[in-house]
Amino acid sequence: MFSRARILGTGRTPFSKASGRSVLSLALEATEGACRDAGIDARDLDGVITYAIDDSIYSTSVLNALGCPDIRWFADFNGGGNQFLTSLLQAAMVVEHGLAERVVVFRAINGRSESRLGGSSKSIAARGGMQYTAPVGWTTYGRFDAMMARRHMEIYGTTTDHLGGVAVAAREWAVSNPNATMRKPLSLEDYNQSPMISDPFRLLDYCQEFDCAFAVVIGAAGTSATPSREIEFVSGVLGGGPRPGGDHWGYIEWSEHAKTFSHFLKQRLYGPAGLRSSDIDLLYLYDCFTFSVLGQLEGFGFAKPGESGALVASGATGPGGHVPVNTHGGLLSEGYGHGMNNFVEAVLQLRKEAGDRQLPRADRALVTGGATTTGCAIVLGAAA
Amino acid sequence: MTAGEVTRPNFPAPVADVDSEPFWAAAAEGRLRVQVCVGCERGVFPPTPGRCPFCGLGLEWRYHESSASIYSWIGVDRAIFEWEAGLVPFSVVLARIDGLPDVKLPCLYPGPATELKAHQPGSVRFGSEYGDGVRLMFDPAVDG
Repeated sequence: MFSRARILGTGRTPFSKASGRSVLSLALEATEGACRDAGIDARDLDGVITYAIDDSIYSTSVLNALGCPDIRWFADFNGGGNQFLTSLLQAAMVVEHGLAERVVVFRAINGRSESRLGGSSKSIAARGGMQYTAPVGWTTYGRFDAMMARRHMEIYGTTTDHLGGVAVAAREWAVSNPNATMRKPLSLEDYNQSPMISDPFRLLDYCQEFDCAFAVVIGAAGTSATPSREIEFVSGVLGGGPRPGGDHWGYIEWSEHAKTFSHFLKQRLYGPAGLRSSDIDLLYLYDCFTFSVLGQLEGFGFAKPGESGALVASGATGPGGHVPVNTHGGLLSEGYGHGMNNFVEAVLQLRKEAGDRQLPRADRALVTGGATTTGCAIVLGAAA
Repeated sequence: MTAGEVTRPNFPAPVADVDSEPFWAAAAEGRLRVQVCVGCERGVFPPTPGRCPFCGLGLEWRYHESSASIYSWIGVDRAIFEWEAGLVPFSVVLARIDGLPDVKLPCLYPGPATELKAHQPGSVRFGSEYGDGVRLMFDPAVDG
């Protein structure tokens, strides 16, 4: 997709429930980690991009704190998981066209201790798109995604055990991941005993929010300390279907709530690159909720409509399965890194640096963002 | 919110804007009024200053009957906000209006999700019993 732009390095902080640190401090740790990983001097960064939902810092504050003398690109996206790859694709385009040479993309949040996206720390104003939803109690991301899950269940016969299968598979992967916040083995019975929150969603259909930061450095091919570790962009798309509203907060008029954005991205993601779903070795599907994995398995062509639940129940997406999904435990069991932790794991696997959980076949990885009507998807490739 | 403390439901009142004013003005009179395309006659909701998303022509406001059926629904079994705690468990219904299948209206149903089923017929109305202002309520049809 890009002849010049490559992923040079990644960095992260641990997940915590109360970091006791500023968001800027978290962002710096992740950014400096990504620069060390790439073998470049952090002061040589000349571009920065981030995304946030009123819960983080301005992009340039990171280059400011690092003392970078030459700022050639910056961007602050107002968005969440549905456009987390917007930041990474823009960074790649900027590098590809020479507008900047080394761009860091970061996401930094005190997502547990300060600003919870799930809603309980935020005031709700029944205005804008929410004038139709908040007055009837249709608030929070979980309640929105649950509405799609129910529609899928009624049309296709998907069951709550199918949703639970996604949670169980995520945990099976997380058990062997030291970075994961939830590593205690989980059975379908445990899932079914977890409290009902937003019927049909139980507690274990939700990911958990944390304080954390992640960073990815993108630069020109051959400019990191070890070019054989650089990762390529094979394909990348953003978008949605007709009448997407404003994603979760305004998706009332979406044509069919049993389908997610993924159905509308598949053709553009695979076609121009000459890919088929069978060319993908690893899947990193945005899994803020269990149902979003089912919706995307169907949309991106790994299961026929209505058959994703059975695919997951067969064990195909867990350890040892032929469609490995979120090999670190994903947002559901590693933690809610707003998509970036899924991206970082994909890079680790493609470099064959994932240790105990390294999969033998790891040359092409699909990474996605979004759960409802709009989203993004990238196919990454190991260095040729 | 502490266990055992039950507060009176007080859901937020909708705040109308320039685009939605005709919808809420009719709602205050207990009437359903939505935008319909002057060309293809398909209904559009939420209210928009834009064009018909199906054919690109203009939209006009029309009053409509309130009969509807359940398109999808969720249950709220755990309250997050104090103003909803007194009504848990309640449900949110996405109701599809008869005759305007593209119009789906979010409605409150003051009972658990287990009482509802797909395609269940009923009607929508504007109620004021669970907070300031009016909000869409779904009333399932009474079995014959």
